[in-house]
Formats: sequence, structure tokens, C-alpha cells
Amino acid sequence: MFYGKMKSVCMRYTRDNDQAMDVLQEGFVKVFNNLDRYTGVGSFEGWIRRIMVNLSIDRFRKLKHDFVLLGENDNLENWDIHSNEQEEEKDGDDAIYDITPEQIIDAMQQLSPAYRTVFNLYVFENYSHQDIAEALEISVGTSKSNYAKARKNIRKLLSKSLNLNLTRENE
Amino acid sequence: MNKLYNTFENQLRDKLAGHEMPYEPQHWNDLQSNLRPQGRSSSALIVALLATFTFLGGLGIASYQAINLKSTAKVASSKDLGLESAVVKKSQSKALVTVPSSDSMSEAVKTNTTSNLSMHSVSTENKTQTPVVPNTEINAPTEFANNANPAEATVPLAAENQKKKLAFAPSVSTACAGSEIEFKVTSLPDGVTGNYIWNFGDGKFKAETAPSNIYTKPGHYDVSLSITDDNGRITTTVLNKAIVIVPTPKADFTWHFDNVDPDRPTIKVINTSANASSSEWTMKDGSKMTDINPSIDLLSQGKHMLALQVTNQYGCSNGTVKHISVNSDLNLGAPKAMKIGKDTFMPEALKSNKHNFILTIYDPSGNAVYETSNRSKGWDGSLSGGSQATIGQNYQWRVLIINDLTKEEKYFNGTLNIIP
Repeated sequence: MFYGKMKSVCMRYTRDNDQAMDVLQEGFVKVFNNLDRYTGVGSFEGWIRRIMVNLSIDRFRKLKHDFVLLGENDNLENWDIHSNEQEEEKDGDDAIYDITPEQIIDAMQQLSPAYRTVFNLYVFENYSHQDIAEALEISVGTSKSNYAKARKNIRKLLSKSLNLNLTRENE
Repeated sequence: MNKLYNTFENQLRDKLAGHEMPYEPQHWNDLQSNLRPQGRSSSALIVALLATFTFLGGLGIASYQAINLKSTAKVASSKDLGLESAVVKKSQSKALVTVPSSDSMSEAVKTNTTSNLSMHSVSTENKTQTPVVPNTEINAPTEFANNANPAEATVPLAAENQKKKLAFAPSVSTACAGSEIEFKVTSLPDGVTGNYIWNFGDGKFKAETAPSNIYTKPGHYDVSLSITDDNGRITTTVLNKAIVIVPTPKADFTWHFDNVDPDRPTIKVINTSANASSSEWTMKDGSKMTDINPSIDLLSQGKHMLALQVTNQYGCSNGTVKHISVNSDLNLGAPKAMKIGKDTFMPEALKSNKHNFILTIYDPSGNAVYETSNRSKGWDGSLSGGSQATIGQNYQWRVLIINDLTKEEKYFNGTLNIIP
């Protein structure tokens, strides 16, 4: 079944289990009611996943006016993502092999909705910043800056859980 | 875009590729009831019809047959509840809607429950649509929210109606895998009686009033309690992440011999326990240590018992006992003496032993003069610099046998006399 995988997807886009279940429920209702619209192009799982992701995007757009973080000031619009990538190159190969999928999801749930949605679309859905900007009705600059900040936060959160794992092992 | 080469993102993607969350029966039930044949559009229609009732009241003459408003976990949220109760209240006040009993109705509202409410009345304008309505379950609050505006206006009602909720509490909220947790009802709305169904969130259910459950796997568990009375009214409450189950600690350790003094071996113990926060070691003589990786002097020959008890922060513990052999009586069948030029020294037991070993020979001043791990290369009595062992002197030998599987080491030593 797709239940477990889709729940994993929904968990990434939401704050907690309840929200994830709401999206999941709504998504599966959509899936079943639109089964006849599945054209057979692409995998069925991919189709279901797209429905879940699109629902998450819709949800984000609906809530958008709640976010303080969108519509950042102008200098962020020209924010150069590459300079940051180079800066992080030094620790770019840090191993997160000890991190569990649950810890990643947990870290993502701690992000603000804007960071979370942008990060998800960029990393897991392979959206470009242009795609994200269009989907979320934000500027490309905002998408880039939100992504970079989300990435930084995720790394911070994950290294925290990694340290925790290590301490546990050493005890 | 160089994201393909970005290791951090790739690692995240790899980690979550194909990741699945555990299946929760409760949510599957919700989902199934969301997927009744008429699906989304008919639910919207019902909402519209209910709204018509709310506003047109007596003008509306409809034929509703058994609209089941089933309570689910999601319906318990105040907003959704507010809407339902508002609808119910409005309907009640209009004479054309008949409800089984006004008492049961108000009770249902009070206890966050609406189920099997039958409303009978007729509406000419809606007549053509009536076949769609019977026995359709509504339990998608999002659709209420999307389709009916009155939701906002009725929120205060919800607060008023939630004075006494059904509630329960576990004996502990965090426990180790394998622990038994008891559940008790802590708040019971007036008049709610009936059959209890507990869903412990781990796939197990019980029908007792004060049950207990043993959780075997670490994780977060949602627990729900539903009470169904004789009239089929269901009162439900859900405690999200009510129970956190942490892994049980597992005690284990290995050791290796640390020093070169063949008479007084010291072992370094390596603690390989999992999920523990503290360790306690007990020796044969009853002495205790709490170091994580202690060093221990083994002063006598024989088997040294070492017991390890590990505990996690929730008080769950686990123990193991092992025996460390020092120079056991067998003595590896080593010769007590050897003639230089005629014999080579290799304890008999090592020749046929399948484990790895290190044989070290010490001169009378305690310096290592020979070391080998090769069964076929015994000591021939030669010393470094080309000289030979002195006749009449005693040389100490030490053997460590290493168990490849457990990485544990056994320690043997003895004396070799050089004879003419």
C-alpha cells in the first residue's frame, strides 16, 4: 500500500501527526474520487504523491498570509545562494548516516511552514526555485533565501540529534 | 544547478527514499468512512442541505432519513464541533425537525458526540436530491470548514459544550519497551455509559473499563477510548502521543588485556551496551564500579566474574555476566623447559587452536624479547641482537587468545626454564 510512504511525505510537509493525517485523508479521498483521471502515464505512486504534494502547496497558499517570513526585505531578493554553498562546502560531506528517517522528519516539522515547504519542494520534489516561486506565489529570491535558511536549520537540528545519538552510544 | 552533487541533500533524499510510516488502524477507519460511495460531492451537498435547514428552518420541508453524523477523532476539535452543535441546536429549535429525544441530543452535544441522529422532515425544493442523502456519513471537518461559513459564529457554543469531556490517563506516559501501562478514565461526562473500546495505537484493542497494555516496540502511540451506549451513541476521546515507548537497555561488554606485566594483567573493559544511561560493574568479591569503561587489575589466576548492570533514565535495566580467564589450569599444554638449539617454544594448545593469539616472551628483567602470532613459529631461544637465552634462567611467557567473534581475550602466562 501507499499509505506508509504517503504518510511519510505528508509528515514532511506538516507540523505534526494530526496535520499530516488531515492532508493524508484529504489526499486519499481525492485519489479515490479521481481514479478515473489517472492516465497511466508515470507511476501510480508518483501520481498519488503529486496529489499529496499539491495539496500541501494549496495548504501553504491558504495559510500564506500568516507568515511573517515571506516578503523578506529587498536585499534578500538578490541573495546569492552560491556564496553560501561554498562556505558550507567545508563541512558539506559531514556524514548523517546515523540519522534515522524519523529524525529527519522530526527536524523538518520543526521548521516554519515557509521554510519547510520550500525545502521539501527543492530537495524531495526536485523543483527549481523558479518552480517553487510559481507554485507558492512567492519571489524566486524569497524561495532561495528560505531554502538556504531551512537548510541551515535542518543541518543544525540534525547535528543535534546526531550528537545525541553519539552520546547515547558512548554512555 | 549543482544539486545532484550536493552530498547533504543527497543523503537526505537517500534516507527518506521509500521511507514508510507505521500503519495506524484508527486513521484507516477514518479514511474508509471518508470514502463512502457518494464521496466528496455528496458530502458537500449534505452540508449545503444542513445549511439550508439552519437558515430556512421552518420553510424547508425535507425528507431526511437517518443522517448519521459519526464522531471521529477529528471531529473532536472545537471548531468542527461548534459547527455540528450549532446545526443541531438550530434544527432543534425549529418545530419541523424531530429528533429522537431532546435529552439525548443535548447530551450528545455535551459530550462531544453526535451519532445516529435521525432527523425527519420534508423539503419540497430538495426532494429530488433526497435519494443521495440516506445513510451517508459525514465526518470530514475540512469540508464543513470549506463549505459552510457559519462555523466561525458558532465557536463559543463549542466552548460552552465542552465543560465536561471524556478523558483518561495512562499510569505513565514514558516507559521502556515491554512495560505494562495501565489506563484509567479520569473524567466521565454525566450519563455516559456503555461498552468501552480502547485503541492502544499499537494495533491492540481492549474492551475493559480500566485496561492495561504492554507496548513492545519503541515509538509514540496515540490512544483512544470510545464508549458506545445502548442507543448506539459513541463518545470518543483521543490522546495524541499519549505513550512514548523508549528502547530497553541491553548490557554487553568485551575486554582486552592492557599491560605487559605477565604476572599482573590489567584488563580494559569496553562497554558495548545499548540504550543505557548508567552502568554498574560488580566483581566476584562484591566490589562495584560505575565507570563506563573501567580498567581492572586481575591479581589472581583463574576465572574472574564480571557482572554489568545497565540502566536507562527511566529506570529500566538489563544485566549480563561474563568470566574473564587468567591463566587457567590447562596452561595451554606449554612445556616447562626447553633446550636451545633442539626445541622451539610453542604451547601445545596454540598449535591446534583456531583463534588468533599473541605469544610474547619476557626476559628475567621483564623486557619482551620475542613476539609472534604464527603457530608454526615458536621461540627458538634467540634474543634480539643475535645472542641467545641464558641457560638456567627463567623466561616468562604470555599468551592472549582472541576470540574473533566476541573480540574477548583470554590471558595465559607461565614460566619457561632454559636447560642445557
